[in-house]
Order: sequence, then structure tokens, then C-alpha cells
Amino acid sequence: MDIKKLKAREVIGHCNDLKLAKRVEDLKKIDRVEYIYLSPEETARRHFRVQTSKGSDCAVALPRNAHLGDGSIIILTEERAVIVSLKKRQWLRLRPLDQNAALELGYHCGNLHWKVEFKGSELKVALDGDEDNYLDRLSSFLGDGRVQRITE
Amino acid sequence: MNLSHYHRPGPARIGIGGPVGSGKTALIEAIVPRLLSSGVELGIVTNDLVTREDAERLKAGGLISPDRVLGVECGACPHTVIREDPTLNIEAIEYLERTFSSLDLVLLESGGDNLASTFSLDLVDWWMFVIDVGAGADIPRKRGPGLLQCDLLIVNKIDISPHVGVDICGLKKEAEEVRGGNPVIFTNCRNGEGIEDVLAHIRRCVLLEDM
Ligand SMILES: Nc1nc2c(ncn2[C@@H]2O[C@H](COP(=O)(O)OP(=O)(O)OP(=O)(O)O)[C@@H](O)[C@H]2O)c(=O)[nH]1
Ligand SMILES: [Mg+2]
Repeated sequence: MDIKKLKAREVIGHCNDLKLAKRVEDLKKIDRVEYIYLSPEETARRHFRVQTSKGSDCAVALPRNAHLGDGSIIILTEERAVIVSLKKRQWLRLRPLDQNAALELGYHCGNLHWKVEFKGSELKVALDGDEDNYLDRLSSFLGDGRVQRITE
Repeated sequence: MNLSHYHRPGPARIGIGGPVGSGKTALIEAIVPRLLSSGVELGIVTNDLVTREDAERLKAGGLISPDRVLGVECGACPHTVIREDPTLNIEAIEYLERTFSSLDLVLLESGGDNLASTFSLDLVDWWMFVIDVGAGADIPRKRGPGLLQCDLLIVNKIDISPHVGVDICGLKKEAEEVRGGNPVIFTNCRNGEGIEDVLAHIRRCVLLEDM
């Protein structure tokens, strides 16, 4: 099958922009909207190649000051729109058993330069890549119960 | 002030990381002449701990005009300047971009570090991690974030495998397994083996050629 090759050179706008929303909606009705899925980290890339939801091969080269986010339109023609869809960030939720465990866990995560957020007695680790790579590094904490993983 | 350069894509940025002595500079030395001869305009930034050794080596090597190479001293924590606080490197890259307005590509060599070092995508668009056969057959199994998360893993110095008792086939299988299908290339930077393959990735994924 012939793979469509697309080029994006700027961020045209957002799919909620008043002027653009109607055009995007019209293209949606005739199934001409393609998405590219990016993680929060990946939105910082300015030169990359990516496959769209319809299998097109899309080469993206953007100015450094461009901003890519959920809903950014990078291609908009009579024939098609290509829109960024942000992959939701995955979190690993951890609960230390007591203060000692909390201190150690905090140190450990900082030492590994993980991105974390605090939520009450929970520590949340932002996952960049495979979850197993994080669990491996927490095995001693999880193994002896000093830290509990919350999955609900 | 001319701001027009803000509104068009600037040069692409590639990071090259990996442990001390794995062959990062050697890889640059292998790819630079091939990129230049196909008309790609280049700049290079290197990070060293407290010297500018690699920048000096590249400048003296005659492969590229010396004023297109900048050394940044990064102090004792080479991973900090490619991830948590890349300001010094961004400044160096922007200096090259201002000075050479037609650059297509900037290569950034990180100071030799451990298997945990990774690049921030705020600094580079795409990055390679260089390990070498001499470090032993079991490195992929150590699952360092650098080796797992890079866009392209390079296993260099395949020529020394008989001397260090490393079975390349086994290493290849393990590396591909931990990478979950992401690319791995085996190279010998001394004789150029595998280098065309590396260039093909750069041309396709970063320079966006073949369009
Ligand atoms: N046999 C062999 N030696 C290599 C190869 N690539 C690099 N070397 C040698 O390995 C040594 C280290 O190479 P460099 O390119 O300086 O390594 P590096 O990763 O830039 O080192 P740092 O910047 O100090 O971290 C040098 O003596 C190179 O000549 C290779 O493919 N085969
Ligand atoms: Mg070097």
C-alpha cells in the first residue's frame, strides 16, 4: 500500500480556535482528521518523524519557540487536518509505611532524578517509559513492605 | 532586531551520550565527514568535566572548521547539563545557530557518564547512547535508563569482542530484547562498520530526508 507522506513546518493553531474549529469539524465529518500521539516529554521535540493514526508518515520540523500541546494543529489543508493528541501521563503511586520509609523513599527518588508529586501521604512518580524499569529500582522498598504500591 | 529565525525551523539537535571512553567522540569523527560531504551544515558542542579536551580534539582533527566546535565545561555532574539544567548547552547551541545561520544540524556530545544518564528533549530532538563491547556482555541486562530510553542504541568496538570474550550474537539478542524493538546498531568506529546504518537513521528520523 502507498504510504502518504506529510510534512508539518509550523503549529497552525489549536482545534478550539474559533477560526479553525469549524474547518476541523468539517474535516472530521468526512473522516479526514489524523492524529499523532505524543507523550508530555515528546512534545518538546522540534524535529521528528511520526506515524499518524491513519498510518501516514509525517515529518515534523518546527521553530524552537513553537508550542505543541493537546489539540495543536500541525497540518490543515482542504484535504486533511493533523492534530496532536497528548498521551496521558502515567503515574506510579507509592505509600511509605512510616516516616523513616518516607525519608528513604524521597531520597531514593531524588537520587534517580525521577519526577514526583506529593499527594497527602502518597508519593507519585511520573513514568517516562516502561513501568517495570521503575519497579525494578524500587524492589527493595516494595519487597520488605516499607513502601506499598497503590493501584486502586 | 531580526526575529525571523524564530519563525522557521532551526537546525535539528542530536545528543550523544554514554559511559566514559565508549566511543562518543569517535562516532562523531566517523559521521561528520560523511554528513559534510552530503552537504549537511554542522555545528558541534562537547561537554567535558573540567577541560575542553574533546572540543580541542575535534578542532585539531581537521574534519570540520574549528569555529564550528564549542566546548562546554560541565563540572562534576555531566548528566545535570543535559537533563535538569541544560541552560549552558542551550546557550552554546544558540551561539552556533546565530553565528552560522544556515546550520542544518548540531551534534552535542555529553561528558562520559554512567548508564543512568538521559537527555532532556528540551535540549535535543533525538539522542543516541553509545556503549561498547569492552564493558561486558551483561550491560543490556543492567537496564540503565540511558540505554533503554535513547532513540538509538549504539554498541561500539565490535572489533574487540574476541579479546574481551564477548559473544556479539548474544549481546545483540539481549540488547534488542531490553530495547523492546527500538533500534540498536553495532559499530566499529575505527573501520566504519555500521556507520552508514547510523547515518541512515539520522537522515530519516532527524534530517527528515527521503520525503
Ligand atoms: N578498537 C576500537 N577502539 C575504539 C572504537 N571506537 C573508539 N575507540 C577507542 O576508544 C577510546 C575512547 O574513544 P573516545 O571516542 O574518546 O570515547 P568517548 O566516549 O568520547 O570518551 P569520553 O568523551 O572521554 O567519555 C579511544 O582510544 C578510541 O580510539 C572502536 O570501534 N574500536
Ligand atoms: Mg569524548
